Amino acid sequence: MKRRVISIILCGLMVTGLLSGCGDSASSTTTSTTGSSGADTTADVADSATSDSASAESTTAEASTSDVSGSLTIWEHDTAFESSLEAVVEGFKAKYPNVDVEYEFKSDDYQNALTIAIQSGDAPDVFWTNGTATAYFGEFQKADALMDLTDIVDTSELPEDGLSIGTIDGKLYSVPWSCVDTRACYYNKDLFEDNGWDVPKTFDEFEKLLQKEKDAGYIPISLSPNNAWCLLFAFEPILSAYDSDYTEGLADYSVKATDDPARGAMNKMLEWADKGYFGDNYLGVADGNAQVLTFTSGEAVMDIDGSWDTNTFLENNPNLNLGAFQIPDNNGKTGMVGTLANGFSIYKGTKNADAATAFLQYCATTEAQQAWVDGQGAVSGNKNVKSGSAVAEEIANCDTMYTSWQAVLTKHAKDGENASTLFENDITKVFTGDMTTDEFFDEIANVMQ
Amino acid sequence: MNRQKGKSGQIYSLKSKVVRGIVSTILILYTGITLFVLGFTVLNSFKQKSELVTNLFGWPNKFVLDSYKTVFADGSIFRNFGNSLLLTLCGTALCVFLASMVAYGISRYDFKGKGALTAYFLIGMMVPMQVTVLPLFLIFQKLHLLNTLTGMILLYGSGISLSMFIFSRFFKTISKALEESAKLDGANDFTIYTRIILPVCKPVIFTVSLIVSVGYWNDFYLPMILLSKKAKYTLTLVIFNYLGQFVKRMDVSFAAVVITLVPVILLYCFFSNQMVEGITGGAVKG
Amino acid sequence: MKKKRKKKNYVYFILPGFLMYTVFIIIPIIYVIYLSVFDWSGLGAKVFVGLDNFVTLFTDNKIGPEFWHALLNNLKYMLCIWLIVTPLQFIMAYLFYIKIPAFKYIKFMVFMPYVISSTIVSFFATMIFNPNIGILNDVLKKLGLSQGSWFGDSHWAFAIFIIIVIWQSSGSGMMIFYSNLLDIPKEIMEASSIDGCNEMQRFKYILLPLSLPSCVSIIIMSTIWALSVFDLPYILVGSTGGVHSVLDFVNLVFYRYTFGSVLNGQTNYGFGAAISTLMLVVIVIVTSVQNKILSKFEYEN
Repeated sequence: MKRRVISIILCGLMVTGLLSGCGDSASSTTTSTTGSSGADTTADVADSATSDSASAESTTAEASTSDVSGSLTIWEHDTAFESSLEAVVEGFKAKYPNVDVEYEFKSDDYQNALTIAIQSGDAPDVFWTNGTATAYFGEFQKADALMDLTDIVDTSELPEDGLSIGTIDGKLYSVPWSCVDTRACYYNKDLFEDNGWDVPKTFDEFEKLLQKEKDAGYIPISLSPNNAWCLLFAFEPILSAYDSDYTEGLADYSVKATDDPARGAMNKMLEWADKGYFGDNYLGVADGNAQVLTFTSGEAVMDIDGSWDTNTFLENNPNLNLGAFQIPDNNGKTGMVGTLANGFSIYKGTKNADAATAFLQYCATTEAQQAWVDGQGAVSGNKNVKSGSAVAEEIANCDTMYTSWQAVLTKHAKDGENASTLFENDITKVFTGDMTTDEFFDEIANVMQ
Repeated sequence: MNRQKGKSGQIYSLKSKVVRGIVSTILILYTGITLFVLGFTVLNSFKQKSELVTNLFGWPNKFVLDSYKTVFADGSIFRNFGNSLLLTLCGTALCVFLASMVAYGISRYDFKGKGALTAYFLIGMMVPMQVTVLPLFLIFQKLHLLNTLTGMILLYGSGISLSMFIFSRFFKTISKALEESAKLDGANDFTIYTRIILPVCKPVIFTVSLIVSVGYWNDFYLPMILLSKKAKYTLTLVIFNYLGQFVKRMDVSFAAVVITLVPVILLYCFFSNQMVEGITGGAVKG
Repeated sequence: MKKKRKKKNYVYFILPGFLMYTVFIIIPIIYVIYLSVFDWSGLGAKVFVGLDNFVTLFTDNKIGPEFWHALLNNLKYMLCIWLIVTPLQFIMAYLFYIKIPAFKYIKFMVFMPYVISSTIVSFFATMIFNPNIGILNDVLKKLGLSQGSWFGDSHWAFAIFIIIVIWQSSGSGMMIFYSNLLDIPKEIMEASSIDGCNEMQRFKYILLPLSLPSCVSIIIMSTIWALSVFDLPYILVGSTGGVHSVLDFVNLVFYRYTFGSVLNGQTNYGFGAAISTLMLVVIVIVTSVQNKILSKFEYEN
């Protein structure tokens, strides 16, 4: 429900940006394309931005923090990050008390809302992106919507990998977070203990565990087949355990996203669905919320989900004895699927470059990075930052890191095609039986390089 | 107007008392669903957070006000409530005012294009708001009405299709004699309208007001798009946002639902008496 | 002099409402019709494509069937309202009319869900129908009966949807019928019983015909409603229209294509506008045909 509901809010904001853009282009007689309307707005502001950033640098250097004032609007893409953002904003406000910070969460159609806001010239000062892992990051940079942060933010405390995600052509455009955005198989420790189950060491053991859990009368894995992301976050770890060599090959695209192992993994999931490993009536689990609730209420023993949801589980049921592991392949090898998290960029046309820069500078400090990681109970990818929780340690307890299958769709789609949207729209059909696995993968193969 | 008191059941009722009893029982069981749903929502709003996940449908172990405290914590909810109230009251008043006048103008006078005009006014019912949201936004922007409660009130007041429909069907039934006699006394049209016709319509006004105000109070879609500053949010929009974070804030969701239902149900209790007894004057004359 | 004034006065009554209505309701609709001949992702320029959008809607292999399937669902829904919901409403109104025991309480409770907004209704629906945490399956399990996935089950989803519709909105139609019944002059009823009519005859020959006017109103309104439904299905199953698209309605299709990037991975307001324009035309035609037929019917009775 959450995602759907918030998507309505998004379409609202999308309309916001959309029509202000429409209005602008109507009043000016230029034939506006996305790039030029952005440029028109930014042309004027660009100069003041650079001079502002120069003074911003000296501001931070002099630590005259009360000079920075005005208002700052921040957009984040998921309320799972609310506690993190709150903590960081608190810390920021302690240093810069005169800045009025307003932040908003949008999800699902975040990309649309943001794109349109930028087109219309009415974008938030600071907004989240997933760096080069998202296709639109490059487009924003080309449309001159991102402020170049290379010289104005001190990034010495941040991990190299994270920085490279936010870098295009040697210039830095976003400040990463030290979390590893990954997936894990969360499990209910109490249920494991009560039934004498152990964390599996091979993929076969994992499958046998599923049957044991089902025999004991529980739903082995909580899953909502009606939401593409719920399916993805389960599919990717299962794929990495089903065929780890293939998954490793995704990193440099030496294997294609639609090769047989991927199809096999999905068929494996369908097999499990038929055996009732997701629950006999799992088609009625409407969305991610219902999936989480099934797990936190103890109906389901495990939930393969994104690592940023750790705190969501705990907030929903503080008494849940939460654990996590990575599903091993048949050689016992485990790995995390995911990337270092990326973070905030500054809109080049911002009206408050001082505050925006000060905010990002604060984000780049270890203090803020730790606050962010703690807020999610996440796994840390930064040697200076501790993992946010005991569960995070369990998630990170693995052999290697894999690339996300979906990230491959974004990176290697044919020019002008959007494989990721296709996946998003059609993957649910595979699980409801409206489409076969092969039809789905063939469809995606058509738009991939 | 004919005020009919309900007659005793004997003349036209199901003969057998047993059958009546059975039917009643079935219906009472049916209403049990509503009671159950509302009841456990209220109960859940008093439960502790940790209890909600494990004991969703049971009696609370302990009654606490935590959820409510959270919702009322920053106090902004009162402003949201006020916004909703303002929008609903003014929007309803404006809508009823405009709709009744238009209905009166169309149904009591004869002129060319009467039918076409009626159809024109009905088109509003045929297009749902998701469709017109884009241009509406643009219009608001041009008129500087974005983020203003005034703009919302004007918008709500303009949605007169359904109200006008109900009013015109009602006006058709009022005998022309009333007007004729008033005219003979030298009253002008507007006086006739306010002093004579309107009082007669009281029941219909109540009906239309109830239908329309419930719609405005429960609307979250238009406020979501046209009111983007938190200070201007309506209560329903705030509740809607809470429900969107249902999983993280399950406790607050229940309290939020209760808070939003209480005013409407009160409104309903107040109006339902007026409405039903009153309509007897109304829609059809035998 | 007086005659002329009388003729013009209606303008004063109609004008204010007319102006407001035109600005806020009609102009947006005209804009949408205008948009339907463009291809516009919401960013950048609008590209004029003439009737292409409509052609795609009718002929495309993927979109066409999807749209027609949704339209069929709308019609199915409409038939359910005409043939199931409306008669139910009338029967309920009749039961109140003849004052079955506790009718005041029942009347109060049956209408109440009408004031509950769709969001909250779907919230309740989740509490009841969610297969894992909802109470229905819980109760069934305790009774030893088999449980279902309800909204996930294409055989049940539509039926449950109609049940929820009945629960939430049958109150209004019932009230209209009820007040209509109350209006029937008692002389007719007394005369009929003196003439020796039994209950069945009274029902068939007096009450039914005299209820026609409200029946007409309700049918006209519910047709328009059925063809433009969006709120409840969207909140219950999302914009995809549920498992196997059983709850896919035309407006959900509109929403998907306009805001959901389903068409070629891009949002396309022009295409969405084409869907809306088509539906507007359909509704106008259906309503006017209905109006003609029903008014004749009403008149004859």
